[in-house]
Amino acid sequence: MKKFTIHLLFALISYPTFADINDYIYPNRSPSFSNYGTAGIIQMPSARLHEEGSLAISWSHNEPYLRGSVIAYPFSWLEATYGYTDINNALYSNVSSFSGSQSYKDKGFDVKIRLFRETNLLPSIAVGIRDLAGSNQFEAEYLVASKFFKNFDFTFGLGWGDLSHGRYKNPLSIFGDGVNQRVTNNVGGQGGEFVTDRYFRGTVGVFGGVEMYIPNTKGLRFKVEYDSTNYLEEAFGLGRAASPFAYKPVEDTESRINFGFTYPVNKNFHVKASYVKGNTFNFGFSYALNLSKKNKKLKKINPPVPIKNASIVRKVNASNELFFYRSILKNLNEREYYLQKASVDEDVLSVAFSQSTHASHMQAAGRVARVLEEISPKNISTFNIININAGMAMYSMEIDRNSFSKNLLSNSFRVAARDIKIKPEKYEDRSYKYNPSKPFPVNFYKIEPTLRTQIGGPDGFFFGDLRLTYDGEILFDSNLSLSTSASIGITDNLDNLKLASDSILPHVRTDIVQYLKNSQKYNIDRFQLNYFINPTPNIYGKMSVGLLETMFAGIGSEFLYRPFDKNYGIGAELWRVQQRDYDLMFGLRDYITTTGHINFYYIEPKSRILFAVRGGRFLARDSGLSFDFSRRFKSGFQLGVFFSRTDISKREFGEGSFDKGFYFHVPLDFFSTTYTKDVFTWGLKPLTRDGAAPLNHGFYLWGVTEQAHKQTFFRDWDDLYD
Amino acid sequence: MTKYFCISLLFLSSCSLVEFKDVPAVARSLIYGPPEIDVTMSSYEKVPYSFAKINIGRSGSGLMILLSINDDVYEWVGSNGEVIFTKNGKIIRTIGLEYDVNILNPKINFLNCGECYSQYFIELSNPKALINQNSFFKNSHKEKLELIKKIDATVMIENFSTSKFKWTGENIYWFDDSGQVIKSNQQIHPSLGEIEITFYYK
Repeated sequence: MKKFTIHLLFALISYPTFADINDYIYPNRSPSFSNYGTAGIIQMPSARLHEEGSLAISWSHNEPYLRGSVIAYPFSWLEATYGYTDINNALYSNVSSFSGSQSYKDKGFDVKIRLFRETNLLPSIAVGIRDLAGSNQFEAEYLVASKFFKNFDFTFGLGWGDLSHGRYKNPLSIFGDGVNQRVTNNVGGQGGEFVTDRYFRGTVGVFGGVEMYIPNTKGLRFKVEYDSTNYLEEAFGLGRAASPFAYKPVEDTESRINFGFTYPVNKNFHVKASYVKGNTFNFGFSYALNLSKKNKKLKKINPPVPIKNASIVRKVNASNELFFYRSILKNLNEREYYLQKASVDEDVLSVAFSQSTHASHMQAAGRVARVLEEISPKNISTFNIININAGMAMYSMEIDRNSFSKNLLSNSFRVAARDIKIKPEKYEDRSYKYNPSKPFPVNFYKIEPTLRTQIGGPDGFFFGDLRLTYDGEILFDSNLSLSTSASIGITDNLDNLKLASDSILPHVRTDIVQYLKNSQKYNIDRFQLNYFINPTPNIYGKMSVGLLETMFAGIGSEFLYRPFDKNYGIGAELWRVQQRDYDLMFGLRDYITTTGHINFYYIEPKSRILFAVRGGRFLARDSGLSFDFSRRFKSGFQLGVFFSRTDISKREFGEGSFDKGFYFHVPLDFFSTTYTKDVFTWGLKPLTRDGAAPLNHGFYLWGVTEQAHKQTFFRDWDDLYD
Repeated sequence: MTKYFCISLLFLSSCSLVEFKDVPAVARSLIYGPPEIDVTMSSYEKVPYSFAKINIGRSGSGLMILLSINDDVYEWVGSNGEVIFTKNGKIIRTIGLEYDVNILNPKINFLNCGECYSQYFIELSNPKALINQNSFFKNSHKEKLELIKKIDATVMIENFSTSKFKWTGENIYWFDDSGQVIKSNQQIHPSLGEIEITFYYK
């Protein structure tokens, strides 16, 4: 009877979950990438996107093009791709003394926006622009729809520009005839601009295809597509007829049907091969990783360490206040929460601490509270935990002990949160009863390998300089520090770098080659004395002097007003700087200037996008605005883009027309087995130019005061008991 | 593969903005994984309860304490609330793992059956699915197992196959003369690495 019941139960409940079985029959179904570095079929794009917070790389070899791309998903509806294409039927230039025999390299930026998410009946629909603000060698726009049907993923789309084979009438002409004409490329321009009067103009082509998932093959998919690419119009497709740099045309299309396969080695890593145009075999790979979620293993590997014999410790602490303070000092320091001050006033225990282990400030405060809960005598009913960074108070967290303790076992952080008050704090050095002596000066340092690179220049695609770097910070007092970064070269290939600056502005950045080549053996990147002040709650200040960054030394100051419970901050900074010698030691060049900005920050509370606008005078004495938009995910992974417009002309700025770029911060504890606040930062500007160049002084107050803001805690309430 | 991507990511950089912190420590943990727990006679004696050392794939090892025994079902609890239920050494249910399973009919004592078949109905999580799995158990050979002391063990092999999708494999159980499983290597979920459990009874 029992067996029959189980069979019946199984039969009844397995039907509705059949769809989930497909996840096991066809695993690893994340979208694959086209050879152009966008989620797609083989050459054609699809309406698919990866999950938000994903980061991917894609590489493909499709003769004559080698293409490498970085693809980011700041939102579930937005795909942003930045890539380099090595064009192997053209030289970088026809001047061999300038670029030797190097092939042409093209930078490109693509976006795809999902307009409609797939439902049971309707397809996912997306619109995309390829080579959005580059040299337009591969420019195309498309509107595309994708729909799953069982294990088939069908795609159908309309393409403009290089995707317009077929030359059908532009359906947008119902809005006017103006869209029927597509103006030619930006002749005489500096590139890098958004040419809005070209997008979705001219004739259209039709493309489509299907990805068929093969059952029980780890997600292997066979792909076939109808390709609407005008291959002879892409880049230098016509050979010398297209450009004097090109030395042969690309092979023309013999078939519009492409086919191939993608094999997911695992859910992240895909390899692919295909046959396109009826005459070209190509292959590639991609790797995509969702970095938006926290590394859950960290908590398991590094749980809060309980106090040994806590009940005895509590009894001893109740007998003598000094024992209690020393017990707090010992137990917090053992866990790398460094006690600065402590005070008991009736039933309130106030503890000021600093830490550099946890990126989640809620987690750090929660773990400090756990220690205090375990060792505090019974008469203590409230913990007042104050966090100190650079000698400045970041926040104070008033915790009801009973509530914290009661909700600890069940991890009911939402209930506990009702009895926790977080507010701004001014650090009063003398108002604490227990001031443990600190052995100033204290020296923190790391020695680690670093890499300096120069990518995509005419004299070679990749130049690198592997170095051994000393990063140190000497604390003379809690708010006075000397930050040093110095390195020695291990190996490099910088000798062949020869690109001289062509900038007509002061060479505040474009002498990068001189700096790299003259500092190969050893250099000092930073030698900066910092003094931090916190005159009132919500107001923070920094004064710095020394070698402030790689190319400038000087003196200056930054102030920030950051109201704790508001979503904005306003700052100002002013610097008098002098350009450093190319050898990156203590010598200086003649160029002196004053630079400064008013900085405005706003965090949009729902999406947690940070908008930062800086207005003022830049290093090359140009004035204007710089905009930075970034999104931080729960894990600490952050994606950002920036651009600047100043009072210089496009001609003065040079190639690229204006300053722009992107960056991302990947928290290293995503990959680590221990908690760390360190991040891996990677950023890229398509071109290094002199216009809109800010001073890169370290320790920006917005970053230093990250935890001096309610949003920082609200996003991480669930870390309270972690 | 995640590991190798991460390492290559660390070495990428560009002309404008590069930081390169903590690479040696992170690279080490990516390559070798977290440190292994070594159970010695002295550490065995220090723990007052029966416990199990568990390795899941290459994610490092952990210890779980035996919390209860009900109807031959052993309940093992980890320090972060993970729970594994075993019956005759076979994992029949897990709670709190990234990929949990629940065998709805954990029935036979396969250790004494010599050669026998069994059909299990299994609930998988992440994503949820119900499957049935056919297992064939067979006593294989005797082996000397060296844990905190040398033990003569009988090796039993379970070959399993799944009907709704292609998932086949082999689970191995080592049991001692008293019929208690002292070690096992098991695949319980298609997305989870092999689980190696060594049991230390008291």
